[in-house]
Amino acid sequence: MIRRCALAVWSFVVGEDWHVALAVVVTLALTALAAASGLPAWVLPPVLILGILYRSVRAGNRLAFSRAPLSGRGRER
Amino acid sequence: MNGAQAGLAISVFLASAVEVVEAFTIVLAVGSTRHWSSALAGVGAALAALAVIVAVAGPALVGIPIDVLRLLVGGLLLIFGLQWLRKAILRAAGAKALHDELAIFAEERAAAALAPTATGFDSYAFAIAFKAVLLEGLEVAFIVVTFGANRGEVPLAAAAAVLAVAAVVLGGLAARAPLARVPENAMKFAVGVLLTTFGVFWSAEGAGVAWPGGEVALAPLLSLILLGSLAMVRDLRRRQPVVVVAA
Repeated sequence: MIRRCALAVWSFVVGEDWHVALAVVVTLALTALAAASGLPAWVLPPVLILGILYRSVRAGNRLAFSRAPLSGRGRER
Repeated sequence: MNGAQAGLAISVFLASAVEVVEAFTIVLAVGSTRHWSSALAGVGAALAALAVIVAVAGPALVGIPIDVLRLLVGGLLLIFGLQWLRKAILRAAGAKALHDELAIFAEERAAAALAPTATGFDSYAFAIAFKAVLLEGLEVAFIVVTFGANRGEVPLAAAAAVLAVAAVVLGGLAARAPLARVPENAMKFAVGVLLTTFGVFWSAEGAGVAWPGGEVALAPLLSLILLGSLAMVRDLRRRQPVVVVAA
């Protein structure tokens, strides 16, 4: 029961690509460090987040076409 | 209402509308195929469960210091928003099948017709409706609580969600059919961009960032994420394999 709840929460928050969640945590840590050092930290999050998103969609795209080249890319809710 | 409040209300409205359309389709399928009163009982039970979750989670968040709240909840919202945006970009690029309410409706009806029949209370209709409303409603509750707590605008966020529920339910009752004409995939793309924008803004504030111009920075941030996402769609389309059909 606890395991199922934990899996449901993980799936709800983290989703299909756990690298995104990890990279967001690292981005926020770097941003906090930059802000504490007095650097213009506001530049970091938008750039890093777009980089994280790009890496994730490229990986998703590769996966979609390696698993099902022409059809059956799985309808998902 | 200022720009940030309008952005918050639009984000919550669109996100809630998308989720309610999905739940409505499933409830309509099991209700019309099986037993309406059992399906509606499932909806009521799920709404009660959601009310308890929001009543517990909402006040618990209010006690957390605002910077910690923005970092934690903004970070969660950012991860959640990136999930939406990732799927939306893959759908727009053709790497993931589009969300199709008519197909889901047909699938749910077929599954409901195959399930064992019941006389009186129909536990199948109750369970499917309960699960659909609870799962989709949890996403709405998450967005309402995170947006509301971060900005201290819980009533505004809740009002936007209630308005979305009313709009979808009234639209669905008028159409008496799945809301297939709602541009759900485009709405999901827009919601992904909005959630990601607010997630970046709040989590960075929580991490100690002072945005140039304060909340005015939301507009260029939104434009950057939107243009970046559209560029990714274009890039993915360009990279997809070309199919050559032999004559």
